[in-house]
Amino acid sequence: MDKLKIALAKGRLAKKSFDIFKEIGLYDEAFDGASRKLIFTNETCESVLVKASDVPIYVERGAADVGIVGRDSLLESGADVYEILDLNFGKCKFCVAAPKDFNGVQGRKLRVASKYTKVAGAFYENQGQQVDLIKLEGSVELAPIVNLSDVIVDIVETGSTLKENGLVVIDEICDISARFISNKASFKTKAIQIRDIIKKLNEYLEG
Amino acid sequence: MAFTPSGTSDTLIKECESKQKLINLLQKVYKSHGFRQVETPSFEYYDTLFEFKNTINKDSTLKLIDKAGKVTVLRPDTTLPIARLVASNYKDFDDLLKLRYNMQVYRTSAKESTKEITQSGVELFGSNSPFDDAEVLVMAIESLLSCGIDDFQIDIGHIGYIKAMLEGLDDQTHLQQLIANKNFLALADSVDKLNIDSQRKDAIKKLPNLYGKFDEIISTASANTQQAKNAIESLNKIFEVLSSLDYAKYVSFDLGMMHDLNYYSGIVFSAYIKGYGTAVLSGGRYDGLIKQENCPACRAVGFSVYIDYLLQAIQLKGIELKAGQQLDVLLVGSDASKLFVEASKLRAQGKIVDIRTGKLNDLQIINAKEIINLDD
Repeated sequence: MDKLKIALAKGRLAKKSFDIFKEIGLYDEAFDGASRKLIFTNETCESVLVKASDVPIYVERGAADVGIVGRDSLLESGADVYEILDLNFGKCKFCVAAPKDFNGVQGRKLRVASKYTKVAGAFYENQGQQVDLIKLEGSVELAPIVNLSDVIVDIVETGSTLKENGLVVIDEICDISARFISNKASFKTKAIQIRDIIKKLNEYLEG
Repeated sequence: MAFTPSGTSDTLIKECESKQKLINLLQKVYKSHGFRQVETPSFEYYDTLFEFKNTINKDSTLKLIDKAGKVTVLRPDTTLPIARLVASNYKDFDDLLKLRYNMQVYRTSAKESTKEITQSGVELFGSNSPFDDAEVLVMAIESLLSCGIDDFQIDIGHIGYIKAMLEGLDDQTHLQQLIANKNFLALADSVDKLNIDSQRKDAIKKLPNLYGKFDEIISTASANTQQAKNAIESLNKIFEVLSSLDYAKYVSFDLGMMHDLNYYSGIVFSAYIKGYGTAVLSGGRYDGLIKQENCPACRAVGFSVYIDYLLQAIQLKGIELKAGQQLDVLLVGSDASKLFVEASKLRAQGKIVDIRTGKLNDLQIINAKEIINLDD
């Protein structure tokens, strides 16, 4: 039988993903955060560790059959995949944040800085508000401080980064957590293997 | 500036020959089943095409305005225009109409401003019998086999079954979407909010999980309403035909399957090749898409092969599609008239001949079996 190819997000979700895989008997080795290793193979599966925002692409294109990724990356990618399970870890929220004294803008468009311009754009579109979207790759909290933007849209876990930079949450967009996703073709061509993982993950989530 | 608009690209010699070869292989299968070729224009009236409600996403079509100020649309899919062709030209035709085509389709999306894809397929009009569903499925299987692929899987569902399960509920489109996307959790959440008995709730929640082999799914599926019973009965008959041809091994079933194009009414199916991440063929039954009484287009089933995906899958697998065209003879010489006369003689013998009066630089692309220099 072909090995099941799994894409995992580097960073905050990696360790927990490996812990779960160990728990459900997919892997016996523990995740070593310091290692630079990117591919993990055994008899039944081959996992690759890739940038979080690339996981949906690996899975959509079929380079990986299934993946574990935050809903933030999934929403931003707009990838055409099956979003099968909420794994209930890596929980945070998509939020709009602004400086403490922010009072809205008058007579011009709101400037919104974000790494997640698709999510931010969709949020304001739903509210019927046209905004000036500014795509940034990091340190988004800085944008309002240097007057690059009025507000930011970002993921908020504890809120401490915001607080340290004098920002407060003014709107919550949606909840985020790690999701188990599958390529639509693999879901059928590797039905037995994927069904087995889903079953084990479900048992893990319930247990 | 890019060479061609975003989403489009040139097809170069070797790829074009492979593509043509692939199209010929598929069309040969369709032809062997007695299907006749048609073509529709690249432009259709927007209003005519979208008379059929609930069809394709209008935002994804490329529109133009003609001299009279009417809005036209570049062919956004193949099924709609062919159904339109039947409704306009064969509306009193009182028999089965079996048509095949190979046409370009044009779409636009947020990712690509223009996208041009080639689709090759069949449509069978004038019947709603499961045996005609079986015929197009047989053709779908044979067309993939004809390309030298055997590790594919055709996944079959039935819209009638999902509709029966959701009959009478609020917000069915939303539920259908969750089922189609295998979104088990969100489906469970939405279903729990519905005001129906728990038995029915469980049945709907189970829908995305009803996929697998025939024995596991179809023969055990629950069917409480007549519509659900009819759907299961059709699938049984189809499976019987496929089994008698020893094609059962190529099919699986998914009672939670939906297609993006929501004009389907009966069976729906998609073909996947092992190791390739996208469906290479999809189709289904679309009775009632055209609401003209007695028109054969009222009852129809068909499928389309996504040539570009199938070609890519075949190439990634390393399957060699025999080159469509190789030069038999390359004639070289300084006397043009002599070259034309000699070439004409050789062509009369059925040979493929190219001529050159000048220098030969890139023999690799020219790829001739024999080079004859008339000056020697």
